[in-house]
Amino acid sequence: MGSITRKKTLAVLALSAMIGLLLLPVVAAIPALASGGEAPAAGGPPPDAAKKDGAESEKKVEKARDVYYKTEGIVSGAPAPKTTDGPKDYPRYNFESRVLLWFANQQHLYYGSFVLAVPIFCMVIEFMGVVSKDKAMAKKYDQLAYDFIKISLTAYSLTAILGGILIFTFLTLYPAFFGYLSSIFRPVMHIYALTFVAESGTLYIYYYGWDKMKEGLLKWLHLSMSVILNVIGTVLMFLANSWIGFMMSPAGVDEQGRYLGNIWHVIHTALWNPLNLHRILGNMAFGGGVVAAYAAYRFLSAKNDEERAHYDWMGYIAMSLGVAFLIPLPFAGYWLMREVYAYRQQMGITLMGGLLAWLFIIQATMIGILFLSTNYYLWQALGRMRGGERFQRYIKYFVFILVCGFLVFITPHTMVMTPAELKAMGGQQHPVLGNYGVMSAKNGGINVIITTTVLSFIWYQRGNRMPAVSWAKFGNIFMGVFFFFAYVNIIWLAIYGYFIPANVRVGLSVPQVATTLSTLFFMTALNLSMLKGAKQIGPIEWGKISVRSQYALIMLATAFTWMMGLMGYIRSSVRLFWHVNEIMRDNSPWAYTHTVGFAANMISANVLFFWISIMFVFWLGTLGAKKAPVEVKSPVPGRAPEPAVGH
Amino acid sequence: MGKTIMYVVVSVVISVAYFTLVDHFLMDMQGLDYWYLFRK
Amino acid sequence: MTSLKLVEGFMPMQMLFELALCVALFALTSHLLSKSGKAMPRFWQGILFWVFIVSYLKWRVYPPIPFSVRAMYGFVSLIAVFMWVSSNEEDWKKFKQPIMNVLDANTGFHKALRTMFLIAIPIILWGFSYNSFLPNLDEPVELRTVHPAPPASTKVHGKTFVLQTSQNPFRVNPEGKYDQEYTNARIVEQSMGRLMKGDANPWDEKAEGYLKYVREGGEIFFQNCHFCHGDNLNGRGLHAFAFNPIPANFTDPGTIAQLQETFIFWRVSKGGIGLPNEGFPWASVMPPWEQHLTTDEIWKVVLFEYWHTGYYPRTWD
Repeated sequence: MGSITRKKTLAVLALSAMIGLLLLPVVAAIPALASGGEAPAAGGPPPDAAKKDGAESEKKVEKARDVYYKTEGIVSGAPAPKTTDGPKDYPRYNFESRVLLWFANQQHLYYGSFVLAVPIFCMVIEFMGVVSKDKAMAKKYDQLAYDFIKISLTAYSLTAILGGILIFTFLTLYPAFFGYLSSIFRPVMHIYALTFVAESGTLYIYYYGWDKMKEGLLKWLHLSMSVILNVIGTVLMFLANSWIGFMMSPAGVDEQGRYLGNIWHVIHTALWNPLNLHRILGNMAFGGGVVAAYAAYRFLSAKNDEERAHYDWMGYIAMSLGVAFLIPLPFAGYWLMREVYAYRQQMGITLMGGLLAWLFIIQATMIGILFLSTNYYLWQALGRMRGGERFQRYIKYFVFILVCGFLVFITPHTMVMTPAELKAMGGQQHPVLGNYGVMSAKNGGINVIITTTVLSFIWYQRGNRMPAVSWAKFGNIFMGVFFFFAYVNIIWLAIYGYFIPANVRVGLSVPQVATTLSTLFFMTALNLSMLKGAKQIGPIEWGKISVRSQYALIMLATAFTWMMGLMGYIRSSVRLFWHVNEIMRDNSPWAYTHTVGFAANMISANVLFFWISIMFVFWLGTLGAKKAPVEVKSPVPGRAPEPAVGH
Repeated sequence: MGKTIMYVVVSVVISVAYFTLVDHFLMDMQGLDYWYLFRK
Repeated sequence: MTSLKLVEGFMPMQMLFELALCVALFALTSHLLSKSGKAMPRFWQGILFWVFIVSYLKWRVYPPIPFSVRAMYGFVSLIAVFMWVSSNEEDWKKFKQPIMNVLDANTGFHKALRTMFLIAIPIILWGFSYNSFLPNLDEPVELRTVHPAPPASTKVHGKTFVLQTSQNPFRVNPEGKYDQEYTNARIVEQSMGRLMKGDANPWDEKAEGYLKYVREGGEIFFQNCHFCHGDNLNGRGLHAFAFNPIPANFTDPGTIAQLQETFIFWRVSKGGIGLPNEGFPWASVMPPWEQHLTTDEIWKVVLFEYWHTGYYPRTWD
């Protein structure tokens, strides 16, 4: 026994050393970051400040004011270049450079989002596998996590390739802009690149070491690796977000764009954290959608019941995780919008009141599609459980509530109409429907939709079980009353908003959100405790779900992908004719906003390309498949046996 | 029957109280007055 | 259908409530029918319900809803009906049955029906294509941004105003300090009837400060603005319908209620020709009032507009 313990100890030490080495670049860079990005920890002005100031060759140190933080800083960089249209600043092919960059950027973001989301899924599912008391389920979860990370691995190299393509596109088509951005973010970009070393190393050890580290202490180490992997991935995303945040809401520079020495200021811009939160949640929702669509596709092409059962289950897990992160996403998006408005009212108005307003109506439509698809899937899923039928006659009321919320949510304030209709309406705004066109109503609409989704989910959890706790009657009544008043509160707050001033009204969204989240947290918890020891009416018959549900999952994934493309386009085009908002002007021949139709076509092209390429990636994943390690085949009735082929 | 009514009443009281508190305190936390319209 | 009134101030909720009532009636009717043995097939239920919704939107809601919005609503309702009829396998089978019957055409009746569809569908499609090729004599649709983003600052009578931070110099309390609380408490009641507050009458001879400025603003308004914007500030002035688009309706919750005072100040001063590029096609005939009024007069008019409509200007604090 002693030698095994020694081996284990050595293994642990070796692993820690490896991880330490991988993270060393990041750790070493921290002092450099803290000192403002200049090489030695600066006590006085950096030695090249005087040289950089060009004409001023005196020893005088020039100070300037940060455009956002309003603090004084020492000028340590060149001003933003004033570009001119021509081959020097905007070399080009005989094609709109902006569209090429859009394409490269979008694909990289899709793949990046996917490879950041999947490890989070793996972490959750592997954890569920470790703590699950049912050995067979534990095995299933573990295998599922392994399958997920396998899919992610092939996508990972494609992400890197696309990142390279993106950088090359920037360098070759926008050299002036990229030169300026990289002069400011030099240390951040280096750390970004080095962090990739850590990410790759951890990912490969995590994947290839799966079998070797499958029980006992090593399993816990493996699980910790998944946490580390996700921390590194999140750090990567946060670093990349800093560039985007800087382009939209610059800080840490003066009005001419000269860097003032504080790297934290350029990273921590006004929109950095809202972007961070929104993107983490968005990644998860998107990743869940992609995996669910993959499972749906495999389900639809399954040759036998076992395969169908396995992919039905996989689709359900992926969808649950994706939707769990979809639910807080509108709130993160709302926070992002509020920060944009607070930063620059003009930008906020351009987004939702002016030029890009129609894109937000499209977004509202997509969000409604997402939630409607989710609800539809859950109702179909009720159909694969004996006992689910008792809920089915109420579905039409759910449909009604959802659709009312949806219709309010998508009603535009300014309607597209012919002049004859305008005259008949007597004005630009419709007296009834115009009221749905403002945020007060829309917040009510979306919160109603989300609450109904929570209710559908609770019914799904109950599908084949009858509560057997002694206080079941009270519990049911309390749930019903709580949901009823949740709806009442949401709608009341929506109406109340019309009668109070705008600065009070915008605060109402917070209690509305809290109401919805209360139903989510409290009612699911209550439901779970009510279902303890519940009588099972029948097993969940995995694989017996209707084909329409799988189409709903594919709809979900496509809607997620399209939405991501749409919102990315909006984020980018709100800068209008600036490369860096109010600092560096876009003087290329493409400094205009595309028509909505063109943008929609571009987004669709991106979505199509992404889905075709990821199908290729999935197919690649099945190519090199060895038989997945299967130790215990536990023939539990109603459970799907392990799939023979890893995928 | 009486028990059911009791359950309903208790649930109503708890829910209404909870949501009113949520509304009030979350507005208060932002420095806004939830009772604006009634504060005459 | 104006005999059953849409009550002003409650219309959006009333419409939703009416729809909910209709759904309840439908559910009740179909329940009673199925109880008495004469159940309506799912297929017809779905179609009938959708037709009802589309008709409701077309004829019940007044003023008429534009076609684009009705198309959106109708499409979403169709999806809703689909979600309802396909929510479980049994219902879906029942819904598909009549369609399958016609496609299979096992009886003479269904055969005839199928043949009829075979002839009718191309004719209908031809009809749609024909209509779309017909030259349209209506005015072309003008898509314009009703609410363009304001510039960061604007210069009126030589003075530059930063729109995010400027304040109405007449929105003051008795001490002469800018005070929204004080002025917001003295506006017209925000409900049906729009009654003036008893202790806040701008036309009282003893009125001072804010209320006096409101009166002065009112005088300017009625000398210059009400001809287009109406004496009830609802965009129904004398000349209103000579223009397209008609003048803005300040009583609508989507106009001045959503905007900062500085935005209104900018629009009034610069007028239609002062709209930014985003406001293309610049169809507004709003005169640039800086050519006729002083900045003080413009601020007072804005003050009056908020007072009269009972709205609070948008603020950020």
